[in-house]
Amino acid sequence: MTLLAEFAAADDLLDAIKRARGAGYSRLDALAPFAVSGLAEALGIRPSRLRVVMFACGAIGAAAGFFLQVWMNAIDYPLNTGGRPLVAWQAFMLVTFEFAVLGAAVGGFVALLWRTGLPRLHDPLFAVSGIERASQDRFFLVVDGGDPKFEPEGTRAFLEALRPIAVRETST
Amino acid sequence: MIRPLTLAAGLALLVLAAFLDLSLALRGLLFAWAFCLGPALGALALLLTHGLTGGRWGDALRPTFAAFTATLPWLALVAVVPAFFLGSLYGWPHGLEERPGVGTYWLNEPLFLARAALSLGFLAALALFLPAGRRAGVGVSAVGLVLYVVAVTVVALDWLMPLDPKWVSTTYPALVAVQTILEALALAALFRAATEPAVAEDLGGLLLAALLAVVYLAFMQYLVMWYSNLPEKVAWYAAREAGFWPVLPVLAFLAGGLVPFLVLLPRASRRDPGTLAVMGGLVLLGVLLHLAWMVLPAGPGGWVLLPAAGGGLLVLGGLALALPTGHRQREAKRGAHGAHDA
Repeated sequence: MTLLAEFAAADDLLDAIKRARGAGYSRLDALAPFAVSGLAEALGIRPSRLRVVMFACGAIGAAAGFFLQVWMNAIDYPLNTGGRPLVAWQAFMLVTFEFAVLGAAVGGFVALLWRTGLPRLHDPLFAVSGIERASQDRFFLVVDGGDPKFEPEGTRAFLEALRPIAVRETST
Repeated sequence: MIRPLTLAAGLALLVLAAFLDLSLALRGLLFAWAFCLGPALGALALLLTHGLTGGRWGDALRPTFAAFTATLPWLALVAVVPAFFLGSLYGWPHGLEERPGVGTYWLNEPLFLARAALSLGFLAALALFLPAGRRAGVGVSAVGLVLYVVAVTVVALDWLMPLDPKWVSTTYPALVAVQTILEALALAALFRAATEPAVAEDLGGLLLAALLAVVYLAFMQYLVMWYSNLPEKVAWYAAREAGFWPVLPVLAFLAGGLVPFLVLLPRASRRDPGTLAVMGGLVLLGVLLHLAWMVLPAGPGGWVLLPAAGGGLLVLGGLALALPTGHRQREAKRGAHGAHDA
């Protein structure tokens, strides 16, 4: 079971996160209809490592693009264009850049899907009544049932004390 | 204490260089002038841009940028010195034989001086009358920015590009203009103008973007000319391939481009004013080397360029740092406090 506290304002959510963390809860999540500034910091989420993956994939893409051109123009089918050198790095830079962008984009996309477990057809949260308002005007604090401090009655009482609009729970 | 000495040493170097070779001394002075004018021109563009976009970065950095722009009228006046020796500096009408129209209608002394007075006068007036205490209005910023682009284009086309009279590049004015913005941002970072992490992050992001723009423009200009392989276009690069000149752009790219780019990629280093200051210094060094490579190897060379450029940097750099810019900074800070109270 996972418990959710529903709030009407972003500040209430941030305040609730602060107090939940102060009470020792660690497996917290938040649902909000827009990017709330300070939310990631309040939840203690570390900076995403996605950009490291994207940088590495971009570098691999750039190298692949560059050496593909070197191989094609200088080794596989040497072609003298206007007396320019076969390995004309100046002219190769455009495709190299495009491949860097392609590598970073594809790598980032795949890594994002893999890390987030998407595409996911169902999540117990989807069945919570009123959850659709998380993408409209409501802010939810999610306390995972796997949290070491989680106990169905105590946690519910704690969330009620935060004065939310409602406390909701998942069926499983 | 040290300032009069620096100025005297710089002046002595300049005068010595002028006695040895007037043309080379003037070219060295022109390079130093372009470099020292950079932060003022760039800061002006950033203040006008902030008038249109708003944002935390501009409010926090306005005192610094206002102080930079306060040097513009003085440095514009310095242009009077090379203006007296245009013949020695550009060698007109030599180099314009194949295109006599250019000499008749654009590159001649009366028209050059008229354009210089108009463009530099406009930029100096803009720097003088732009409010330091508050964000510039949207209308003033929009009109100012459009005219600013025209004025900076004229300055780049008139003062720097004719050093190679047969060479034409449509990217060149944009490259010069964007490089001044990069220079202003780098100097602001070096001076630790951003003390809060959030503002430092904005400054770091802007620095990164301006750096990419300069590298992009410089490379595209090179690629297009390298690819078209036309003698009069390639000659500009060929002149800069001789001797030790190729070392400059390579060093500028590595120390002032690649290293700051990689270091500033992680968000944490952009939020740290100390890291930002070091990277700002490196970028500034890169701009110095790149500009030196763009300006100094135009025409016959000689070791006289070294004392001329060094003396020019000492005199104009010392002048820019010693100029009374404090009142603009105080005005801007008062404005910021006023906004806080209100």
